[in-house]
Amino acid sequence: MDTAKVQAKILDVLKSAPNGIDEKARKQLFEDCDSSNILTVFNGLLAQGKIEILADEHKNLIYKLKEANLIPGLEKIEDQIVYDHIARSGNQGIWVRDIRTKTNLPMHTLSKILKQLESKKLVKSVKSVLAVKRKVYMLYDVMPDSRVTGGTFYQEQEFDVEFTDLLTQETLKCLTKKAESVAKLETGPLEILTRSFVTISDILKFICRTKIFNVQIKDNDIQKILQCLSFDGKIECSSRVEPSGETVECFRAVAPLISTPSIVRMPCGACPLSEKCSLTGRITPSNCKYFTDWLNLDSNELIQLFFNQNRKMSGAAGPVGRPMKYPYTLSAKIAQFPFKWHVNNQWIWKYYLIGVAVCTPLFYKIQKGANSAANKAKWAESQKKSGH
Amino acid sequence: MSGTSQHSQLCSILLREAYGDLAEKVAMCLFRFGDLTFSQLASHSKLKQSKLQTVLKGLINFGLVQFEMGVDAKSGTQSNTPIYNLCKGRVLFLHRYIRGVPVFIRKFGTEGEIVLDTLMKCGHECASDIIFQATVRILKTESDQNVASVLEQIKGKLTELIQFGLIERAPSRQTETQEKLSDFSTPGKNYSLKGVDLPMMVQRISNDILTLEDAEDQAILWQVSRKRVTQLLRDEMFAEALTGRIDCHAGNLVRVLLQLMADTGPAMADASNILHKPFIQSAVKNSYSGSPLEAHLSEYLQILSQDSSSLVKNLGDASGGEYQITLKSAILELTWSALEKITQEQFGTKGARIFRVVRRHQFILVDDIQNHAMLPPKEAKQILYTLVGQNFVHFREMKLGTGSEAGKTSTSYYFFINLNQLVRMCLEKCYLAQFSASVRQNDIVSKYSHTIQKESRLTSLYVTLKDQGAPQEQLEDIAGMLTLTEREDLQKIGTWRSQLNFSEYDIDNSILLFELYIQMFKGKI
Ligand code: SF4
Repeated sequence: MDTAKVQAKILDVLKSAPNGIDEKARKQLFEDCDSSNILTVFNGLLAQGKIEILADEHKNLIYKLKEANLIPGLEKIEDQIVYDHIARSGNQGIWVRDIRTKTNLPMHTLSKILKQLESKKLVKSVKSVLAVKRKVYMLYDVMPDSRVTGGTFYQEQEFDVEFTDLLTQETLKCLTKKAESVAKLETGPLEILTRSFVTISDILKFICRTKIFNVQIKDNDIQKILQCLSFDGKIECSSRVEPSGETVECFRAVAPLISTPSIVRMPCGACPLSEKCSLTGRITPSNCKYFTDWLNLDSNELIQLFFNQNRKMSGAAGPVGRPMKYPYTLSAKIAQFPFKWHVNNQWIWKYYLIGVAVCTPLFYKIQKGANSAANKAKWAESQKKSGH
Repeated sequence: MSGTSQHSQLCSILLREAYGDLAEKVAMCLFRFGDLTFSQLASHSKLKQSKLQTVLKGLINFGLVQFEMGVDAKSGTQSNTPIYNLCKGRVLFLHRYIRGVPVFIRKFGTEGEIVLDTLMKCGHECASDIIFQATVRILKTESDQNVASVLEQIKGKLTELIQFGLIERAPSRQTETQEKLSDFSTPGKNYSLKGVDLPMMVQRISNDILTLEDAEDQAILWQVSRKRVTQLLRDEMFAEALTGRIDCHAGNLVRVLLQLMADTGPAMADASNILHKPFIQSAVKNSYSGSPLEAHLSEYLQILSQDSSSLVKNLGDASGGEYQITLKSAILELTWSALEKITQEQFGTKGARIFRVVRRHQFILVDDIQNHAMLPPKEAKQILYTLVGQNFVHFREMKLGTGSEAGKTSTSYYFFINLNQLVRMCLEKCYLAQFSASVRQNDIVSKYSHTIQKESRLTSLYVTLKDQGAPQEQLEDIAGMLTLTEREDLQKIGTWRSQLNFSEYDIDNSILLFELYIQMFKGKI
């Protein structure tokens, strides 16, 4: 038998034996062939990565067809190895650097292979939320794990702030509505407290009724939001036994123990410059701008501010949170930039207007004089004289 | 606690405002150098001995300076040299007292508050003098009252205040007489004031003699108790917190429980003695008879013992229910709550969320913070680093072996909150805020001194002319001498000053909480 035939026979045999064949079976199958030839063919297949040799528990050699070989279109051994590693990573995916460490392939070769595999729609790249700018590879038809995609709160691997905020608001609304409705009951305080608790399924029902969200929200998502609200100090958790005997977690909206500590009712309490503030130097209480603004707040405005703040803190209504006193994000800085103050205090705005007011009649006069009929005639005459 | 620069600045400005420059100079010497003898004090303050004596006398009168006999270094026996020290808590007590005024009025009426105010103004005084001066004050505004009945009423109020503990014995001026008059001394529940001669006072007031001389009890001095005022305001702080959390009846129950704690054991212990339900029931009946609290007492007790404020603990069901006030854990909870709100004010809702995440997990990695706080990674990191920058959150570097290669380590940063440090930082911020408000107020007064002086001159002129029966036209002319801008300025100054004054006293609430925390968790402040 020539080499090609032996090779084909070996592959056929191995294909029909998914668990592989042992040394004894191999010898029996290829009794009629030259043993040195057989070994050369096996070595060749091994080098090509088409088969693999394993050892069983009795240390017997097992010849087995490599799984990647079942994938059509993967000719080169490197492609198969890379494909293998990607397949093994399952729905978690594998980072390109990890493939490189495991395969020892040069970067440009690896990139080429990955591109090829992607174009053949055998693998796909997915952006992981665990690290920005990190792509992981997984088989084309594998659904990425929620740890990679981030779950409901991520859209295209980006954290969906608006969605999360809206869901948080709706969850809190559900809890506060419940608390408000039971507070009106004419029963004992314990009954009011017990009835103000709601379970996760109650919240889910409430959210479904609002029809705000077009994605399916699961128990897990609400649990995460509730945990977040408890970090905001707006709700508390307890558990109760249902009639079925099952213990379920329940939640209720709570007011904070201290609504606003007295120290933050004046600017120094939340002042980022307090360490630099003293009787001498550039920052002193006498020239403090924060103080000036605070003192110039209309007292009615101040009362309104506290009132709103308390209402927000008790979570009764209105948006969650409040503008920060000292913004540090760019958009917040723009939103709170005192444009009006600068317009009032910068000389350029005022003098620009004065300049326009002064110049307009002057230019008007010049324009009118220049375009008057007499001047036009004079101009025509002078042109004529100069021979144009 | 040794005085920090913020604390010292605040004490200095308060002492100057309330007791004058010289008193401030002497007291601040004691603040800076600690315990000093008379001669040391004289050399540090660079005052003449006679002047220093007068100043010290005044400061001792107000309980700001205390003294004790020193110990001879060689023989180890008590020497005759007194050593003076400053009672720092008493300096800031003025603010605390003013904040307590509404509570005093609610509990003891206006007369009770006048008694306390009279005593505050003179530092320490004998009972006869307090009663006499308070009566004179009341008669000045309400002259048609019967003198004897007012005196009787004031005496009753003074006794009530002594029994409640708001007024306590002050060290006597003469130590030897203190021994002789020991029968006057120990105030208890049935304490009555001996040596107060009311008929003599009636006679003096009828004869328009508005001073008292040689009262029988002049050696027994009284002062406002700082400890009791603090305790009363602490109780109010808890009651307000639980009123906000549950309702006003829960707040009232807290008042009753804390009073019971003080009655049955030390008021500032970590936890109270066991309080049985029938005992609580009778106390509630005494104070809030017929209220919903009495009707639903068991329910309120259950709610309080389940609440996250951790103030009340249910120990069992023996005798209808056994309860304990766990003051230490409640102060811890309240401090956390205050710090979380401060973070919210300074860093926004998201900052407060990250702060709480770190608090809940004690030691946490940045990735886990992002996960729990439900914030975009970049924003979460930015806020976390700002919190670290402002010392609200701290971090520790941990080097862990990777296991794969010997000697190779990976570095992780664990974030945590150092509560003691944070409380001290916030306490200092409170001192700074009070100081800044005071400085700003002085600044406003000096900036507008011309207008203020003009207004006071015109007012006195107006009053004099009006008393002399000047015609309406002339009065209107005087009123018109104040221009429109000046009037607006005066109005503005009034609002600013009251706003600053209010804030100055209001901050004491936070100071009280932080001081209580330090006292409970770190020993003496
Ligand atoms: S006075 Fe102004 S600068 Fe100084 S701590 Fe207060 S707010 Fe900050």
